[in-house]
Amino acid sequence: MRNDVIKVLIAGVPNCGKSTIFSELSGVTINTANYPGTTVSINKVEYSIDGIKVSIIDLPGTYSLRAGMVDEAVAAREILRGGDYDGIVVVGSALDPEQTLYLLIQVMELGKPVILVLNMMDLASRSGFRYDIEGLSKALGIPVLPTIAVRGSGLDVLKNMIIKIRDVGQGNVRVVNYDKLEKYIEDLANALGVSRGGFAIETLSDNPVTRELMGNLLNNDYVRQIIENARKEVGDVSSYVAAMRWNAVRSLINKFVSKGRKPLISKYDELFLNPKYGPIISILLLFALAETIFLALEPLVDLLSMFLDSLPIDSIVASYVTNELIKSLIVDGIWSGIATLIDFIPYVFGGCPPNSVHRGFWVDCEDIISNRKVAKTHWYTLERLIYLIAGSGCNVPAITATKAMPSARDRVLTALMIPYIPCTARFVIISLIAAAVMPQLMGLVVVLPYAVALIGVIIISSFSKVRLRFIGRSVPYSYTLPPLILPLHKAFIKKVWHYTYEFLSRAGTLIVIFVVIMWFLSISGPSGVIGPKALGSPALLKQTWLGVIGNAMAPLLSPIGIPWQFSAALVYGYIFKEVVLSTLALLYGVEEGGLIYAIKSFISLPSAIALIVFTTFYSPCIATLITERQVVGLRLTVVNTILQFLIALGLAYVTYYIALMITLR
Amino acid sequence: MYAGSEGIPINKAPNNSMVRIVRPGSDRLIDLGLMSGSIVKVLISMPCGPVLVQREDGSVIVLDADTASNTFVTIISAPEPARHRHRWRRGWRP
Repeated sequence: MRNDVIKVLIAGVPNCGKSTIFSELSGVTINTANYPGTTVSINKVEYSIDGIKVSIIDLPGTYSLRAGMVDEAVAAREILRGGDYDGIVVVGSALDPEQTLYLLIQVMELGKPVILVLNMMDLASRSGFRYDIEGLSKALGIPVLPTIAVRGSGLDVLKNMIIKIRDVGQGNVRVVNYDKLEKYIEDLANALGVSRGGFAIETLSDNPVTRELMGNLLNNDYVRQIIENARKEVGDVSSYVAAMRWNAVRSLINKFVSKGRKPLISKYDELFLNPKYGPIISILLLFALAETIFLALEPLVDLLSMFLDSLPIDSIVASYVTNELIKSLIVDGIWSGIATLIDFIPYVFGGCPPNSVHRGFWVDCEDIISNRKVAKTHWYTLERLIYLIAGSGCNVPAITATKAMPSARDRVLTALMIPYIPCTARFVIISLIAAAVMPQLMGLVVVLPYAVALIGVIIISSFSKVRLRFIGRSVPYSYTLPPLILPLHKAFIKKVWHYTYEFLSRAGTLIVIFVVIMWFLSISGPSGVIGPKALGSPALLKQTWLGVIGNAMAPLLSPIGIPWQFSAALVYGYIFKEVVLSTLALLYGVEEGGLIYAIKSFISLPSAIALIVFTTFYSPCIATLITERQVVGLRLTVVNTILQFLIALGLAYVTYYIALMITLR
Repeated sequence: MYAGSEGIPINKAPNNSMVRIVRPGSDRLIDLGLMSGSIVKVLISMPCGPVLVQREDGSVIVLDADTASNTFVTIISAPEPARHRHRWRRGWRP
């Protein structure tokens, strides 16, 4: 009996509007989960039309089933392993029919029902493309649907087609004539026991994904003999197969697509790609975008904080709960965690547009930046400028935005770099220290963290030049340049909402749990539960687990003249950097306004400079760490956090002694 | 004229030149339609850096630095280098 849920995969070439189509097909809720064993996110939606349940999985974009990057390998693996799905919707760009048909042919050869969606039909028409949809559909033997996803045009038809995908049939699987290779394809398909000729073709082409899926079966003497004979017959099978497929693609294009004379490079492309002015324009634009977003967000964040502060949570809880410990758990633990999470929402929402825009817009800017000779030395640093600039506002959205990067290796490296950039919250602490001990050099001192941050970024970027197993191998990063489009449409807003929702649902729970754990550590110690009174008493706070950890850190920082109160307060910075100053005020027994005088009295100039350097690096907050974990995995997050701490400590010592030598003179 | 039978790395080809690919730098280029014998226009090339090329069908392909350095081409045609013109007393002369 067939499963009553229709399962469909959505595959497509990158930058063809696949996610927009997926977003339009789905409802408000999209479930995102990492593909098993990877940090690649897979979106899944389930909905029903006229009582028929449909489950759609959105695969990462890929140019072919012979994948180079981790994301592409996920898509290739899902398609090639021929799971229990009913069919595949291949989405392509009407502006790039060659690449679309090249992928489509490979998917069709696997023998599953396929629907071809040619998206961006409006742009293609404007560029002079004319399609014989009916002719193409007949030649391929599958439904071909022109769509304009941003306007929702054609998507209702697609929904109906998806419901009927089981009736579509397998289409013309022999659209490519492999000539001398045909007999080997048939022999291999029989030997492997697969009905899908496409699988045999990929195996003959030595596709790493099929190699992985086949396992020991490839060691079979008969199978090896077939592959060997095929190689003898045509030489490089992989190139031969690709050449045959491209010939078929060109033949189909000649028959069913006529192209206009309008160039595919727009005047904006020319501007950003100009070797002389392009880099300057791109950098200015990137900087302006990041600054505008965070400047625009400031009032919203302030408003939200004021609103949260104005809520009478204390009195509401007190009216229902009398037990002081439970009351503190709700107010100082759970509510504090939720408030921390809410505070991040504007940053995440604001940081998402560059993420969504990236592939359609920033790709030009990034390319031209990376083209410069100066980028040869620290190529990754410059290429990832947009993310690092965004990180100076808040690390969380910047790390989230790296998910838009097509190369897993680049994504990991960039996500590892971002925590080295001091965010606004860390900057507030740094500014206060600077204002306390050297107000006359304030301008100079506030630049120091960014100069120091560059050291960390360069250290991480140098990882890109060495072969590190845990980062992954270097992969070719070649792709077709997408059209330059400003995504100002409904689907874009939906995508931004989806990114925000994803952050809340995936990171939110962990953030709240961590804040509750930190609350517990701050009201209990080795002697047992001290109670909520520890939160308001410096003497009791010292006896809590957090006090103990802070004191344990004190010997590391005391040789450079940093008092234990700072060490303890910095431990609280793991929750939220904003609480460092309030904890410091509590430990010194002063109001936050009087903190400047306290710092001035207890810390020397060299120690203050060392503290600024240490604060820049020592660790991002928990929300950043959780987001980092989503992108790079737990192990790398731990390694990077320890590395950050060690670099912070080392540089603090170096800075201290240099500052000491200068001030002694 | 410009290169031997082995060709030169594509990122050494001048901007706006037409080149024939002798050896693609990676399998991925084949999937992007750039095979041995393909003719492309080099839009922007940076020595030892990435390259932007235009396929015969008009699509623009970005080649990363490593792939570009390993992609060998022969130059079919290259734009004439700009001639400096000097203003003489009686008008413009080459």
